Amino acid sequence: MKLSAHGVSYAYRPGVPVLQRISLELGAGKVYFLLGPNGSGKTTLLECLCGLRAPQEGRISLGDRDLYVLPPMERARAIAYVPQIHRPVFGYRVLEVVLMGRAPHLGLLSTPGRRDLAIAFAALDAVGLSKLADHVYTELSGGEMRLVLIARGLAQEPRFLLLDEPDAHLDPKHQHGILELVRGLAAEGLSPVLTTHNPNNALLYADSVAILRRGLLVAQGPRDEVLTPRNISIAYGMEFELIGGNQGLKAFVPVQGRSSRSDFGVN
Amino acid sequence: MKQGAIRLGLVLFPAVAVTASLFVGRYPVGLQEVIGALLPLDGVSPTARVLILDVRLPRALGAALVGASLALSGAVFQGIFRNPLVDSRILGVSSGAAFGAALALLLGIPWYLVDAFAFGFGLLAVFLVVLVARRFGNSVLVLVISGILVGSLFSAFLGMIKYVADPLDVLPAITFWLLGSLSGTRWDAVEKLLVVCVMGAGTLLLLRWRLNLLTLDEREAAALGVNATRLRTRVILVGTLLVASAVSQAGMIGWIGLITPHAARALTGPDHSRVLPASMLMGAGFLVLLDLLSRTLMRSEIPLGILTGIVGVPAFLLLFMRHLARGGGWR
Amino acid sequence: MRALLAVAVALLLGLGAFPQGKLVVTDQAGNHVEIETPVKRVVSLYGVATMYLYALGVQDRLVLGTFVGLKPGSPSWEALMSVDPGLPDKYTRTKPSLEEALAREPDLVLASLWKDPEATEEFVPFDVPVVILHAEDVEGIRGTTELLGRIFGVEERAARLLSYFDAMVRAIASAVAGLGAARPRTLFVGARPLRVASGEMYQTQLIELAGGDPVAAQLRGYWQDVDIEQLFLWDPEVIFIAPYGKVTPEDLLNDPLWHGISAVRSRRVHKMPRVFAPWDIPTPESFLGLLWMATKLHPDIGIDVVAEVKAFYREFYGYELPDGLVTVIEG
Repeated sequence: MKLSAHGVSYAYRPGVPVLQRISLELGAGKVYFLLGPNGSGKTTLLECLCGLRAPQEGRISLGDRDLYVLPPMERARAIAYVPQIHRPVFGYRVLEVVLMGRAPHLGLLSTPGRRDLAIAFAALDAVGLSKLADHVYTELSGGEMRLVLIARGLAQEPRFLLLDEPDAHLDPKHQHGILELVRGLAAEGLSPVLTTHNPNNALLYADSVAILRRGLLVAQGPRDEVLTPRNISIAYGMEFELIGGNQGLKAFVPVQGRSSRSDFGVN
Repeated sequence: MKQGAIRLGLVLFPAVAVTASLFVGRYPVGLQEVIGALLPLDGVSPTARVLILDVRLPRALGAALVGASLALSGAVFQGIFRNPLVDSRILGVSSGAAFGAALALLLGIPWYLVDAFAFGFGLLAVFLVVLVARRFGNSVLVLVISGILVGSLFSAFLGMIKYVADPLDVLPAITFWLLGSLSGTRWDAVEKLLVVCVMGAGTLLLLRWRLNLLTLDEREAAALGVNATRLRTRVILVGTLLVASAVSQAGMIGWIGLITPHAARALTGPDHSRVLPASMLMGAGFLVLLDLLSRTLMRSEIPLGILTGIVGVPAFLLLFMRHLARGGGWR
Repeated sequence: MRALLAVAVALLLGLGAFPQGKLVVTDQAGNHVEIETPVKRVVSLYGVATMYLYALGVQDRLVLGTFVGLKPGSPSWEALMSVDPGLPDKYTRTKPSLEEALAREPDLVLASLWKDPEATEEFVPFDVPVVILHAEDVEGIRGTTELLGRIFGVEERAARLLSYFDAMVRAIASAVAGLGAARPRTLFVGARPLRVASGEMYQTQLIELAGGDPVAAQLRGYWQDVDIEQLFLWDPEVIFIAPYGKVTPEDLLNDPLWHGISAVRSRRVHKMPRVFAPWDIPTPESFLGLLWMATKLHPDIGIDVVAEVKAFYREFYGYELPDGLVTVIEG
């Protein structure tokens, strides 16, 4: 089953389009990165793909059905959304937060049963936080909190896991921990889609990439085809160079005016 | 504390309170007489029998139902508005009910219909709030502002009624009603309360886990497939029914809806599937005890609304400070 | 010379044609008030005091006044109209504002010690004398009657009123003593069945003078709300209901809960009458209230209430009591 956008346009205010005729296809088992600078519309696109914003032009389809015609619960059983921040008002425990992910599988008047609890535990285990099940969510570190939200998404048993900048505001170790986890999930058949503005993370973890700039698609397709210095430079409006590549380690490095090359101290 | 012990304690609390209030009152009544009246046995003076069965028992049950209704709706509103400092009065249902009662008293409507007026206008106030909110986007913020506006409107009207009311009989009646009292609660009042309580509490208890989802922000709830607006509106209407019923029987009683959920959360954690039943039981017990005080401390009755304020404010401060000290619970 | 004398005589005669006087009185707040007599235009801010003007026959000098629980169109209104056709122009439902009062160009303002003690200062800049009155108990009634008698130059009538009262009190006391009967336990309720007159109120004094034992004598303050249990404890033998408010004897007699009280069982529940003002308000009409109460407390007292009442209204108000009101009194 594929999640695709067909000619999607979206504007928050009339006459100020944030997305213009975006078409892309997200397939199964692949890690898909939506890359772009601030204001490129990648978060908006993610929300459209989640079923949170109906596009004004074009359509989003899940399989062959229009996502926005699907009943919300059915949609939530296929697509999970992991926000950047979750601000709870009450002191819920980690497991209770994850359990909320079972909502699409529970009727209006139901309470979670044993099976739901088991699934929630398994989700927490998948992100490696089983020991923290009984802790109050707000007492966790930033990285742990993000992992709990991923677990909540997993508890929905979705096909697609859409993450909004999961690498933002985290130190390198935690960033990579999460991205490794995400890639691991793809191996198990889940399709993660995430937004980021860090091209190097895309280099390391993406299978497919779409680059956006100012609401327009700069490029999309397999990672190595899309992640070229030219595309990155166009996207970010500044020059980038792709360095490395000899031992398989590559990185995009910004070119900061000609004089700074020597400051950088890299060959 | 073990959850099992907590649950047992919660169930026993209102039961013990109601039982205790059969024994306590200005008119001295002994253990034998209480048992004799309840069973029933012979040898109980008619006054004592009437007192226990037709005065104390319905009043205690009425207090329990009112307390349960107010506490439950308070817990639910705190969840809906994502704010633990919210009381069920936030949407103006009490102001509407107060206005309705005052209007009925002013127009000389027979006493048994005054409660109906209070109930009706309480609901009307919230309908207005929901309608206004719908017009302007239906977010939580809009609901709160509409609630303030409608509540203030009805308060202003109430002020007008008080101003034109006859100071000899109508005005004192209005003042008395506003201060809150369960005196004169008979079995017919208990029936009315029971019907609404069963319907309202039943619905909300069925929704008790789902309400957790309303504490999420709009996007997260939508992503989980929850139609937050629809659920919120329905819960508001049911919660309002409970509050309107309680206020129309007992007058303006505040603080129960605000404090009891906090106490419940301190015992059970914030999961609504536990907070709702806990709030109901605690609210029932609290109000029965407060009503007991109101009718026994002095020769004349202390209005219940005053007692809940006197007890409520320091209790709230205590709870709040303790929880802040523990660093958890809410922000 | 003769011309001068003629002018002097004319002047003297002219002066004599307009007798002007200055009166200094001490009002019931202890203020010394200088009043220019005769007083032709009175504004009364004190409803109780207004009724004294009618008893003293000087109602024509009233230009604006509050009354006590008077509703246009009610039987009391009709009764007052028959002795004062100008009533609609003088009547104000709520206390008039300063400007409203001044617009009537009063020579004198009557105010209540309880509610308007600052009235004196308010009117000083306008050179209008204010007499503060306090007719809330027997002593106060005497003081007010004498004071107003002096101010309006009707001392003789005032004295007659007071000696009527004294005579009545003596007659009742000796009749009750003569009967050798015990003082029945008596309760006075107001606008609601559980709202009772406290020991500090005039109604309690009336009960004592009428030969009753006021059960609520230990309550302090104004009207007090009590619990029905307290009523069971007191167990009054006679219950009087205030003329205002909607409570009727049937309300109590038909309520099974109240059958535990002696007064209800023996059907000694009576609603006090009102003619111009309610008979329990401390105006001269309350003398009749006292009389009426005495006959209800001691039916064998041998006083013809209706005849006395008719005579009173005839003598002091120039009013013939219509048959409709006679039935109310008899009932």
